[in-house]
Amino acid sequence: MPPLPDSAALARYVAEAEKALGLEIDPAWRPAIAEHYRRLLEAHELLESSGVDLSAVEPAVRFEP
Amino acid sequence: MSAQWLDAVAIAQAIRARRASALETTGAALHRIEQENARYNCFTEVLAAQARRDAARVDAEIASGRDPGPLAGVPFAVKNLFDIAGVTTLAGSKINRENPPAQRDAFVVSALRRAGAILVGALNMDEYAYGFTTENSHYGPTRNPHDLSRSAGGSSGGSGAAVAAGLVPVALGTDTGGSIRVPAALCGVFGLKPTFGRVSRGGTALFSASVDHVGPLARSVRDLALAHDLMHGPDAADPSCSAREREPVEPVLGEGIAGLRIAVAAGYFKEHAEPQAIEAAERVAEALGARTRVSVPHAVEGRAAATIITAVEGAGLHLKNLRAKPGEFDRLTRDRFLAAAMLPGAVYARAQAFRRAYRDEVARLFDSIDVLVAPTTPISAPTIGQELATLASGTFPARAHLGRYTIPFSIIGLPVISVPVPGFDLPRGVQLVAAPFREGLLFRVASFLESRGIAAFAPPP
Repeated sequence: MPPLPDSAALARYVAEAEKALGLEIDPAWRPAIAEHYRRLLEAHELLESSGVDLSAVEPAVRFEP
Repeated sequence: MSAQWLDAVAIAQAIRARRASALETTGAALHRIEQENARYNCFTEVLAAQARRDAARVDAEIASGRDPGPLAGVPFAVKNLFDIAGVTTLAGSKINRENPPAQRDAFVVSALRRAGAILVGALNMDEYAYGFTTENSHYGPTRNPHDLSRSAGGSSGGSGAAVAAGLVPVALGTDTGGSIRVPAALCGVFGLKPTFGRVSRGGTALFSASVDHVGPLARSVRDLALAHDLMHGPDAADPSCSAREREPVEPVLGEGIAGLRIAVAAGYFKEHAEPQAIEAAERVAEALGARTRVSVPHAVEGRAAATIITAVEGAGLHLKNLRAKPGEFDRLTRDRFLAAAMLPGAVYARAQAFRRAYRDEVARLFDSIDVLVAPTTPISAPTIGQELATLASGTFPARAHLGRYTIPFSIIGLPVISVPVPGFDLPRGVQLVAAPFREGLLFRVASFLESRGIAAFAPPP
């Protein structure tokens, strides 16, 4: 699994993402949000390192025209 | 047995045979709720007047020779994310208080009321169903009837506690990552998470659209079966609901387990748990003669995919309010939704791709077995406010750890019954898992375990 961004980088990302998404976040919430974001990235890296070829699989989202 | 602990089938039998009246039964349930709800904080709304009117109607039907249905006069309650006509659907939130009342009952609420059941109220839950402990900052925590200092589990914690406390015999909940099974296990009752698409979600406030399930909690297997039989089946109004024909399970309850291939989940499902959690599963396995051990491939990653999918779908659903009034969310919910809102879309797409591959792998496992046994939770009910769970193998975030064994099955929509296994200091639950749409097998096994006393509800002290 590749190394995840450090906490300072995550905090910067959260601040940038806030602006991009039009969110108004109390600065006091940012550390907790960054920690949750880190956990989501960890989950993603687990999938990427699972050995399953994800490019060969259609996402499990159904659309019926 | 005190009337408080009768199951729904027994109550309905007594009322249909005129040994009891629906009005008296409903009045007794409302009295218990009035007397005891403050201890547990299960109910967020009590529908006393409506319930008495409905009960009087059931009595009148019986008096005139008509059959009100198999749940005649049985009190029940629902997690407050199910629409109830005339009541605002809170979904555990403060934000939704401003919404207008629902115009009609949710599909499943309507199904049970048509069968004669009496809706007595709405039940507490984690905000927007995003949690495993029902520590709701707007409506307070729901307390476990077996130990008031502990959580009832979640997110259908009000449902688990109301059934375990004897306030109602049956309650409805929803399950995205374990939100029926976790409170069922922690409160010592039976809980069914049906196959994804088996039961309509019409009129239900969703958390994660591609993962949410609706199901019952009860104190007996036959009640769980009856609720399933009344609720399941096609609903054209719910795009996720399967068009499969109805497959009632009540007829198979007495069929026993002869010929069933039952295995115990090893590896991931024995790790990072209290010894009693493993012991509960082993007791069930021994009673079933299950000696085969199998590993669920990629269970760790299945849980990881679920973490991403549910967080992103929930964040998408609530993005407008996350922008407009983030301060009105529960802190535990808000921070996770906000983090998920910032996640690149490709991460979600990859998680959905993994989910399909994982589903196919686990499906192959069920080529050689019929039912899989696994603990429901690795730990018993944490105390309210408890942040960490310390086990021999390490320290874990207590709330998230409750879903360790349930999430890998719900993300691929498998049917699961959590059965209570008595004889421990605190309630313990064990999951019975089958291939999609094989609920009948689960009910055969659960009924067998109940008949042997291995699975049973035990009233709180």
